[in-house]
Amino acid sequence: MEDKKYTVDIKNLSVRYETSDGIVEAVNGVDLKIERGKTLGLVGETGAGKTTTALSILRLIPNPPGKITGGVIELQGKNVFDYSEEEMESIRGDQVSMIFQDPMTSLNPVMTVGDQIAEEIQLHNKKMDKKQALEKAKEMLEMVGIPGNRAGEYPHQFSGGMKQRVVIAMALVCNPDLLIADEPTTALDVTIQAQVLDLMQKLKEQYNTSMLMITHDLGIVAEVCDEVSIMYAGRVVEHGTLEDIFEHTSHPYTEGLFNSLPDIEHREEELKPIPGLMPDPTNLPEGCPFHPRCSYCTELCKTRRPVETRLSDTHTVACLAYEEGTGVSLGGKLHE
Amino acid sequence: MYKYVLKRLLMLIPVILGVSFLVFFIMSLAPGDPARTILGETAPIESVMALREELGLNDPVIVRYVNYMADLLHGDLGESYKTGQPVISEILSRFPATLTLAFWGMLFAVVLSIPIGIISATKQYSIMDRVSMVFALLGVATPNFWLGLMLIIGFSLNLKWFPSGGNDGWSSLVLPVITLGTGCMASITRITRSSMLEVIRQDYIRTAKAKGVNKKAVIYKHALKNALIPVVTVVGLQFGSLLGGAVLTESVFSWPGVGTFLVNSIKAQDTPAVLGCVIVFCICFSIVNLVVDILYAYIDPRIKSKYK
Repeated sequence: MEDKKYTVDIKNLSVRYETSDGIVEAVNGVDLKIERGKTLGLVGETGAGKTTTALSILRLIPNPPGKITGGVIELQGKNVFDYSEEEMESIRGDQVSMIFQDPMTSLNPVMTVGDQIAEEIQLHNKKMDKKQALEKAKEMLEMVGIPGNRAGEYPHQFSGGMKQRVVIAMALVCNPDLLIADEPTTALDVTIQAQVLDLMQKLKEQYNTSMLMITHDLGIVAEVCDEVSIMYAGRVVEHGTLEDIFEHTSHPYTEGLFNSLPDIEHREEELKPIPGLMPDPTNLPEGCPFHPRCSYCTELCKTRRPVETRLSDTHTVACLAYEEGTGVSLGGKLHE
Repeated sequence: MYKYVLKRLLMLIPVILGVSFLVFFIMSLAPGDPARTILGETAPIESVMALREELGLNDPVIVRYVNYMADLLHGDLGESYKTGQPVISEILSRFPATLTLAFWGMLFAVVLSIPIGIISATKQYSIMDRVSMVFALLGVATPNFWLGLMLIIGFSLNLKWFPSGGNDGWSSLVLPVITLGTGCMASITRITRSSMLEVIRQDYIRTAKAKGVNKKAVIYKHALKNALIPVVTVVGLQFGSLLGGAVLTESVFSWPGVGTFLVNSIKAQDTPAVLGCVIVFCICFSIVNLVVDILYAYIDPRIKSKYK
């Protein structure tokens, strides 16, 4: 049963979007693994390919223009690309469910929230009739802190935070093995964010669900994640445990992310945002994709693509500075 | 909701006032003398003058308008100059024919165009989509009267399958229904397609897919209801205008409806008849619009909460 240790195991995933403006290489050989009951944080700027990676697990990349060009995604040891569309439909919402970024738009405005949850219950429990499903939907609403008697109301009658609770209820109602949360708190007020995160954390532990937490907020990562993958231009540039990433930051990009965070203890310090923008995904730079924005960039970085280097059992990084004989140096500032 | 309906019905009053005023003045500016038209070219001038006096045509326009509106308040649309019958009964006797034509024309259009629009949207840029969009464009661009004439030439004169006009039974409905329906169908198909295309890109459709809802249910259960609002608007507007304005189609097929009556009344300068028709159209159109607005509330709960 060694291979089933991981709820999800993504190997060398590549996804591209074929648009009229050119081919967008959205994901380029990503590896991710999540152990049962653990939470992996997937961190990166907008456009790094986080959502595309997540949608690939559900095989919901809009096609056209999206196309999975390579790799394997194993759910409980089975490759999702081998499933038929019908099999995939029975997996979605049952084995794997997803919480989307914007609760304002992710609920159907013309269906009551109770019906929307009950629909999912019935889809995956054929024996249940409508009434039982609605009862269960109400229980689930209570569990996320919404009175069950509001099940007959429509999404527009709820606030943003409440809607996200409904979405969470919907995502967890079939007790999935894997919960994908795509920036679940980005669209919410700060005060609501903590409540929603707490709720997710609590339910996740209760159901022993694995979670893929997509975010660009390192604060959320510190709070809920066990492991972290940092993504840049469709690649994982650094991966490790929370401690690896926060205490032994190794990749210049990860460092840049930390430097862009305001520090409440040293408020007089100026923020150091990462200069420049994400590279144009239709025209990725040669060599290390981060080199145009990297303050340690050398000539070699512009031509040679870094490979994954193992720093410890849990910590990997893709930067030439850690590869032997490249002569690239980060000036001893990073990684001890 | 009731309050809203009542408010909307009350708003009919200024609309009818405005429309009738406009039509009344335009008719009074039209050349020719209704009294002369009624009595014929050969009638002596004295009897024409007497009739003018009797009909009140010698009064100033504004006086005539006020008199007319006073009668209207009592539900009296006056008598037709041409037939001497009350206008209201002239219209009511023809209204069922117009309603029949409008109903079947609309049904024909809706039953065909909504499924075509949905298929076009879900299979965007497929052969099916392109073919139906070309036909929709042709349908919008083809004038009704021309299509009607072509159908008569093809199916009445040459093939002799259907009568070319009149209203005797089902077979005489076929050609006018196709003529009326084609124009409506084209625009309903286009609006269904574009509305559907917009809806299937919404986040909640992605949510539905992520829940494991199958493709068909995503379209028919989750997307369609959301996509229907603009479709209902167009269907309502068209049905409203069919009730009053299938004038060209009715004329081409000499369909004994209100449209034909209106055309004949205009030709005869039968002011009370024309005014009566216009006011009835006006009321029909407003009521259809009101029904559409009420339908919105049933389709979209967000709109319902605004009607309070």
